[in-house]
Amino acid sequence: MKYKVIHKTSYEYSEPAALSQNELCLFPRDAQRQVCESKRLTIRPKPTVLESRLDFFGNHVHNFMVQQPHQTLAVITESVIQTADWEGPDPASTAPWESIRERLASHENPEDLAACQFVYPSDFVSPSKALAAYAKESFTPGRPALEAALDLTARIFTEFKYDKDATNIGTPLQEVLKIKKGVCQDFAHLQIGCLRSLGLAARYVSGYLETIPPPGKQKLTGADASHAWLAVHIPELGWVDLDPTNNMIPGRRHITVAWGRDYGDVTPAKGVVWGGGAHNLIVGVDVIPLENENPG
Amino acid sequence: MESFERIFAGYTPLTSCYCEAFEPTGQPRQHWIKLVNMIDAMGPEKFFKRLGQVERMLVEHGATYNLFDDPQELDRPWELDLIPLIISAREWLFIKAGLEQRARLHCAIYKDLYSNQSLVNEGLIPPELVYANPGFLRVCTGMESSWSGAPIVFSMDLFRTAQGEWRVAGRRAQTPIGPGYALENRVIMSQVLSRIFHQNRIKRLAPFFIKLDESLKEAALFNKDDPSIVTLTPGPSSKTYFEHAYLSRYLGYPMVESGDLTIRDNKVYMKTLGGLEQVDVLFRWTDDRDSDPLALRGDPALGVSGLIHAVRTGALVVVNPIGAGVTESPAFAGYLPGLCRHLLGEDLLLRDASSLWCGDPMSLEQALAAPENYIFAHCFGGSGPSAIDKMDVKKSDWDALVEKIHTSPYQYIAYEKTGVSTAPTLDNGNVAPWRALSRFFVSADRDSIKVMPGGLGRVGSDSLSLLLTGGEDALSKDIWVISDKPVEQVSLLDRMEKTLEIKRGGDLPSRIADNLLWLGRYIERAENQVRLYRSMFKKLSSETPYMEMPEIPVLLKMAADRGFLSADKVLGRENLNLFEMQDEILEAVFDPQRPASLIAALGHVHRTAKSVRDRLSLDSWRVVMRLEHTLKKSDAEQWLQVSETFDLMTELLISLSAFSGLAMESITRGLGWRFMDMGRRIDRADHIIGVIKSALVEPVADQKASLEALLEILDSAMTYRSRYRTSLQVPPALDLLIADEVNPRSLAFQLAALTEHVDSLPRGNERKFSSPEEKAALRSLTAVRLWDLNGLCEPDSSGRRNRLEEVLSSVEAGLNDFAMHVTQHYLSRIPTTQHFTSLYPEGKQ
Repeated sequence: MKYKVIHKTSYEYSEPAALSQNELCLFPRDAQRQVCESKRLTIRPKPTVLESRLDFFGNHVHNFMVQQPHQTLAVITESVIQTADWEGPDPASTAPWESIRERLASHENPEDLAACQFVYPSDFVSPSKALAAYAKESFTPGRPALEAALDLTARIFTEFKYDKDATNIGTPLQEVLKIKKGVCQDFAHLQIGCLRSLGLAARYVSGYLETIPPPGKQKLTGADASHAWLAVHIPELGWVDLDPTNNMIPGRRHITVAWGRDYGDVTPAKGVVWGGGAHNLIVGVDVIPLENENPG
Repeated sequence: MESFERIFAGYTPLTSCYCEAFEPTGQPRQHWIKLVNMIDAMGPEKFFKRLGQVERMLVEHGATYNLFDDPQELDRPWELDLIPLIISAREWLFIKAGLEQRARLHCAIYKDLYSNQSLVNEGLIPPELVYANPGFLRVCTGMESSWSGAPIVFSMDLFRTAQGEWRVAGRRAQTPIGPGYALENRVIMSQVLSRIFHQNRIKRLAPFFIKLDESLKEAALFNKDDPSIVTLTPGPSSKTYFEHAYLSRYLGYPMVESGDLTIRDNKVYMKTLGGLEQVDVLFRWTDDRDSDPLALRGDPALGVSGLIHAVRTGALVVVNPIGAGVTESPAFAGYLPGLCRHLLGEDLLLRDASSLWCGDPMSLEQALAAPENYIFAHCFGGSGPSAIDKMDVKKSDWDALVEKIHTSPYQYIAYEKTGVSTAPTLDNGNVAPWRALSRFFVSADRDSIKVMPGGLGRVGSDSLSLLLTGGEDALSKDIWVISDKPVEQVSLLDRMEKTLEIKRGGDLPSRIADNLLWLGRYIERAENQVRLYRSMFKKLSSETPYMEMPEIPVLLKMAADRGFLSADKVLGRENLNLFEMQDEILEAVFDPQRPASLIAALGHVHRTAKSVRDRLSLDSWRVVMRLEHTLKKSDAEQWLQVSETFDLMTELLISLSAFSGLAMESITRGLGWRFMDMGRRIDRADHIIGVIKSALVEPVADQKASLEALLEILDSAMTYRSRYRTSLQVPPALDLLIADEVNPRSLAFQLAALTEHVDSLPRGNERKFSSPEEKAALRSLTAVRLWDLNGLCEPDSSGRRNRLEEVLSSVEAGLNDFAMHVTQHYLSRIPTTQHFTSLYPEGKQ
């Protein structure tokens, strides 16, 4: 499947902002089931300095500064990405989860060693007893790892309510587990926390999801959104994506931008503004299919 | 307390524990003989007298340590033992080599971890040490330049086991803690025990700092011949703020807080009066995690947003490099011998304190099999109690810990319980064996490694708490390293006696200028109050009944008009009760809750002085500390009586005058001085206007008494008498107090000084036109020069001097204008409010 993604972020300030400094993590990277064919970044007003680099995890990061007084700041990325569905074996045929935990703990080959850092706590995701207990209902002894992980994904999907107002980025996982509400990023963090509490490696993935309008309705411009899910490390298979917000293994409609230990590693846009008074943030995402769905 | 003729006669070392000073036979060790004999020869009385001297010097230098990092908590005075810790020349060779090797080893580890982590990939260290370690900053990887040559200053804690073997207890690499305190201890010890110090051959500390200064200059990527180096402090609430200011002055670098810096084009600039000035080397005292709030989500008030990116683009050098904290974790201890062989091809000279890292299954088993032999602690600085001894905690707490250890064993370390050598320490008039920890400082750069030949000793009663806290709350000692050659005399100290010369046009940070302006204002306000109260107390403590002294109502009116005393309590009352009045005055002096009280004013002086202490000469700072001390003393005695308060006021006045005198004589006439003096002039002019109005506008029964009081509190009585003998009249008095430009207490003098100051401030390209502040100052000065004083002295039909009131009020308004324009022009050029934003995903199908 080929998509064009247009992501517009604009800040409007009530008073002129003197100086603004920003870091973006918005360019889709190449991944197991996707190739990014082209990408373009437009910033208005024109930044004084702009640099790009690859971060520790291989994600594309841009840093820029706007140094003249400005009352609006717009960041637009446009990219064309070729995606594919995930193809993997029957989840029931994967190795028992305990054996994967042991492999990670002994990290004898480079692949396991590289996955290790996604077992340890990170700023937004700390393993805990409560998370382990919640996960254990799915991870029964000897159960194939991917089957158990998918069961956990399904449980989060059914037991948690999607609610934009219930949490914010500072809400701790313990609280999310208690109120059973949140947004995609909470659910991703929650499942990551569950998997890490069992000794498994899980990473956070940021990206987009193409939305399908209800039958007979025209798709609205800017109606798509940035999205977040997670991936679990299954030796031999590599990283397998899981989307607890939508209860699925991400496929061609999921477009990966970046991955890291948690939201903090791959915040799509963060910045600091001096002055500017009150401000207003407007985000619009369009995921536009460029060709008809290609069966197979 | 037993008393001995000889101080050391009462000292008994602990049995079965190495004593730094004495052989098991009771004889002093070779390198201690001289010190022990000289102290013994001095005798207890003389020796203990020196202790008082040490305390006084520490107070005067303002040496404090804010242990709990709490701005509310009063700064705790630094404590220094009078008996140093001595290291022999031979032993120093070994320690020095060990510390140098450690520094090389750490640098090699950084280079690897912040490039491709081959140490992890090749299995030399387990991945947890790096990837589970919050000190490993992924955003700092791939910044080659940071780790290949930028100077790094380490502090390393060493102790000697009870058996006499040197071990490493811990290290700091994000920022060292203690080199400034070590220097302060040395300055004091070399003065207090000057003869003993000079008769032992003791290695000097100054060369270490000279080398550090050189290597910071050498590190600059640009402007190599005259790089701009600044020290970044988290601010006065930081527990080691004293050290930041002390070293910054000693090394001669301006000290800034994060708000003084801004980033443009990825370069870091200091906001100064003359505009933005690029920083080449940032010597930071902020922790890794707080150094860049944009990249690391640390406290925005402490760090500089975009700093890491600026380093990445090669715009400046940060010392120590951000991310150096990664090797502070004690989890590395067990792997260092292997790393040393692998990276340096050498055997590790100095071993760490014995410990077991629980991330290793064998070690975990060993530690939990005999937990009573170990102290368990988090090895990545996690939350919760820092160390747990099974013997000291409830069973349930212990079980909870064991469960946590099993959940993430790699986050814990088990320290083997160990004894620490002792050193003779003054303890309540005796010399007792206290456990000793020695902190040494090592600086490494591209070309060389330097170890400070000396350090910061800490002594405490308990080995374990000393080791686990690094001696944070312990008594300190100077460490003397004996030299086998004659020592060279080098010192940077003369730098401390002067304040910093302003090298270029306007490189005074705006915040510092603002603080100096306010310091001038607060000092003047305090002095004005002191003069007023002093005059009152002088009258009140005389033999004449106060009812018969016509000056009293004038003084009370002045104080009430200035807002010092409550008008309701002291004005317009037929029968003013002496005791009520006295209580009101004492409250106005001593009650810290009253915003306008003298004690509050002196509090402002102290706080403001503290935030610019790197700009004040040592002597000026001494005076500030003495002011604080004087009031603390009085506070302890619960509000003195009138006559004692008069003495106190006199004492304060002398201190304040000493400060002014130092400001006149020992501060270079740079921008800093100008701002401080402007503050002073603004407030003095304001005060002159105020008291003249109080004394002369309303008709009074006794004009002479009003003039007398006025001349006295404006410190011009002597001048008046020498000019006009005793004839007290309004016009000549006003001429002296208002128009006489050679009287430093006159209004015209203040306005002339302000006019001159604004003329000399940096103006960039705006030189062509007069600035608003220049206009405001000149307008007031000209007005005063043109006043017809004789006319202004004439009362109108009601007896009031309305004209006088009018013109004085217009100058008062002009002064307010002036202060506002100066602030707008120089002190608030860049908005400092920061807003942080982040984008959140919210996708749902």
